[in-house]
Amino acid sequence: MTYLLAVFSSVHQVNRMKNVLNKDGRYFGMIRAPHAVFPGGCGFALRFEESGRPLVEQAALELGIAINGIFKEGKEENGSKVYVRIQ
Amino acid sequence: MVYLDNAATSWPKPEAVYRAMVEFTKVNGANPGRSGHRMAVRASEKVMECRENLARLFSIPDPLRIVFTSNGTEAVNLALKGLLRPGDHVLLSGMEHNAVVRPLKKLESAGVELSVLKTDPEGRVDSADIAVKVRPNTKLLVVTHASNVTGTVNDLLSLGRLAKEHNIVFMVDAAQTAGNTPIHVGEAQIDLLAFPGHKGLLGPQGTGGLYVGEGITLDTLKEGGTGSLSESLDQPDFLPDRYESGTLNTPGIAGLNEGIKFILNTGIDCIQEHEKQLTRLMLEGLAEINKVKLYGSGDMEHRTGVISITVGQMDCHEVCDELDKKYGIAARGGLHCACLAHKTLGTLGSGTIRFSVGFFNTCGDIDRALAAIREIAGT
Repeated sequence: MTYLLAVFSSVHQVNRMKNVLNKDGRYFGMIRAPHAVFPGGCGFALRFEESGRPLVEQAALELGIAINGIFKEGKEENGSKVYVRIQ
Repeated sequence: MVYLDNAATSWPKPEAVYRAMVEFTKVNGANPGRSGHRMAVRASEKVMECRENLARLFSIPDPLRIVFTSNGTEAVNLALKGLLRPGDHVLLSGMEHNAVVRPLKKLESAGVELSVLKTDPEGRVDSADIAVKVRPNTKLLVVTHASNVTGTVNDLLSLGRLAKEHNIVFMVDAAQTAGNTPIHVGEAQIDLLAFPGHKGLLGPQGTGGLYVGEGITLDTLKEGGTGSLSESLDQPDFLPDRYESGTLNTPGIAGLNEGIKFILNTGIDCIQEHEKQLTRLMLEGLAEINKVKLYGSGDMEHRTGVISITVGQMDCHEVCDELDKKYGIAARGGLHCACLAHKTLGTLGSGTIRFSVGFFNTCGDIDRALAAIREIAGT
């Protein structure tokens, strides 16, 4: 399963997104944005299956919330996570 | 104790309010929006749940435009000091609470101009006076939704329409109506709605909020950590973070959330009807007592459960003291932090005795209060 991270500036924005998206029976989780995707250290991200990307983008558009970036989550051979920016 | 001081703060609260505050503090008492562990996440979810329930109650399209404050006064201060600049002109009603008047008087000393609108004898804004007093530099019309002295309710639909016609910002102080009177920010064209959490919304003291409408930009009252954009030395420019520096009163917000859920589940119309029934009973009883003078509107459709009286020439504080000590009734005497309103009503010298009903009052409470006033008045 491939997961994406959509990074936002504030926990309030992620909670709002999460509450709207999770109404459709899918699961969108919230995590602290890893340093690799949000160097400031205080971002929050939605974590979701890759197929959920259009829903996230649509919801952000409708709610007027800016997405700071979307990253694809992967793993290196040694097991550590890597993130590739796709938007 | 018969508690008839709900205009100061509502009491009791729904049981769920007490429970939520204790449970939150004991189980999930982490700082919302800072760390990423499950306790902090749950805390932030609780804050968002409360924001969304407030949005539902006031028909606010975007919950992120609701800013939590420590009370209604802080919300008013943020709105007024964040919006107004020297040279701006403000229209205010003659029934405003000191929460509105005092920040405006301070702003006046810095070059903001003020005009007090005429009111009718019951304390309702004379909307025709807006056209008379509006100026090219008028920035804001601020009114209390309902007076904390007389309970008289202003017509927000009409005032909002007039504000838009004159292209001025419309601000409402909902200290006495949030939670007991329907408020629809869109229909009333409200740009700024300030409310306490601990009165009609049935939350604990130390809670309140401000709705900031689309297109309204306020300067900040305070700056600091928000849990967002920590890499920047500048305050975030997005809501609610821009105005919510420092750790929130999350236990209070958890309690407030339960108060709002109680209102949504009970139905604000049901709450309003119950309070109207008690108010009607109280007004009818008081009208039959010699020496009692009533202030404010007798029109039940345009008033809340705040009732002000005087009893002959008796000192209002002494009457309240007797109500407390001899009859176990909590009421408030004096000027109710609203000297402008008392000036408008002509009661600045004497003050009034204020009874204010809440959803948990009963007809029996009103009967006891009326019997006490009858005895005190000697009739």
